[in-house]
Amino acid sequence: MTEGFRVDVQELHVLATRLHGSGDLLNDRRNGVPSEPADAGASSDVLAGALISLLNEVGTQLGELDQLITNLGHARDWYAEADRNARADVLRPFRLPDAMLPAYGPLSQEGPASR
Amino acid sequence: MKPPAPIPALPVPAGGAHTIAVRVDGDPVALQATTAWLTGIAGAAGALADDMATTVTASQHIWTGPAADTFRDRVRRGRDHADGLRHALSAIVSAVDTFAEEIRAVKLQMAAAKELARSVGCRVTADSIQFPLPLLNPAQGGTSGEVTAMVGLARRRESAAHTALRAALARHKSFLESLTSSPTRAVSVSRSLFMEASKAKAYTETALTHAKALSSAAFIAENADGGLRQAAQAELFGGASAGMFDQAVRGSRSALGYGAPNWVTPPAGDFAKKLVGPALKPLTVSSGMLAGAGVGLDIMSGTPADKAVVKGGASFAAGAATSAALEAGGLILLGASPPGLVLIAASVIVSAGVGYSIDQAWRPTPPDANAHGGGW
Repeated sequence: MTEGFRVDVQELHVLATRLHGSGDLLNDRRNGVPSEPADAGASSDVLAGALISLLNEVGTQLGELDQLITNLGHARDWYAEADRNARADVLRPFRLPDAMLPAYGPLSQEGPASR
Repeated sequence: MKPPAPIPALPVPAGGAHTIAVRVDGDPVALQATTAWLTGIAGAAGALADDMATTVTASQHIWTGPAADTFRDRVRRGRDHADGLRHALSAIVSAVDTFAEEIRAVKLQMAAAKELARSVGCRVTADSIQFPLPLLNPAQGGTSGEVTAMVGLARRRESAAHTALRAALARHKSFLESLTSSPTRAVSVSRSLFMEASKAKAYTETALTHAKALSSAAFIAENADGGLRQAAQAELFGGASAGMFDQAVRGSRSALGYGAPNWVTPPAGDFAKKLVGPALKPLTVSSGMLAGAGVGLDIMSGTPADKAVVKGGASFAAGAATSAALEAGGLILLGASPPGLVLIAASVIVSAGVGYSIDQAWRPTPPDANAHGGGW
């Protein structure tokens, strides 16, 4: 596990876009399903069962990819917001709370200098 | 050691017309259209796997830390899944392509056998070759033996093609099942970036039923002599339709008979059971529907709605109570159930009597009896 973190928020967007493009391609191909199962004679049901399993697996893959891209977007937003908050904190005028200021009383005329 | 008994030979037909089925099920064109579709998916799954691998590498330069490590672990699992899909798809494409080619070849062999049979005067239809009488066994004749041998060869090839396809699909079925149970499976996605088309959804829902019908209708090669067993579609579906009808009737009867006895647990003790059981028995959906229909007919024939409802409800209750009382009484006093017709007749008479009494005694509600605040 790495200590600390470093991130390029813009590049996270590039990663998400690339994954989204691959998912779109897979989804388009999946949706090009023939309207009816192919006639494979006595093996038609076995073949259709296998193709349905494949379609389900493609659906699972796309669901997982969907979550990954969405979570990447959330991470990017979180980093961007954290950076904005940090910047706002940095720009805020520095002022110590009164309670933290040293409790000097009025200078005495018989202070150390006059002693 | 005693030698094993010889395998009995196939029975030789004693006489009559000899017919060999030459129909070959399977549509190579449709099968190859399917493999083209699967090849497209395999290509896309491969592209996704490659992009995920690139993502892992690229992300190491731009993103570090615990979140980045977790992200990369997840992308690697997704890449493995996509890669597994690509391999499974490629193997299935290869198996289905081979099968389609084999079926095409078997069809050509059958066409050649039909052509030869036609040339020697056999009656040839789309699905069969009929040898002329008085052959006893076409497999032992000259040209008919040659035709039979061609058909047998084609059948063996067809059978081998099915066996190979099923074996290939079974291998990948276990792989697909392992993917399904893998921890990479998405739990739920409320908003989907990748929408499944209705066509794909429909395929998932209906393809298996359709394919089962195709399989049932298919001829299956039974032996090397071209003798076939047909999974007779007419028989299967004829039986199924009658069965479905029976099932539907049973289902509707069960729904109509549903009522109080289904959700009331009778108290313990024989005596209580004998009282409660008959009391609940008439309170069913069907008797309620009949009472409701009676109320509706009354209203349609001009009876005020409130009177019709009271009359219908009272008649239903009285009929049910009579039926229950008679049955319970019969069971308790006589020890046997009274005949059903007596129950029905008694219930109808009491029910009709109650209805008639309400008809006679009904006083219409004054128009302003329920008015609050003086109407409009």
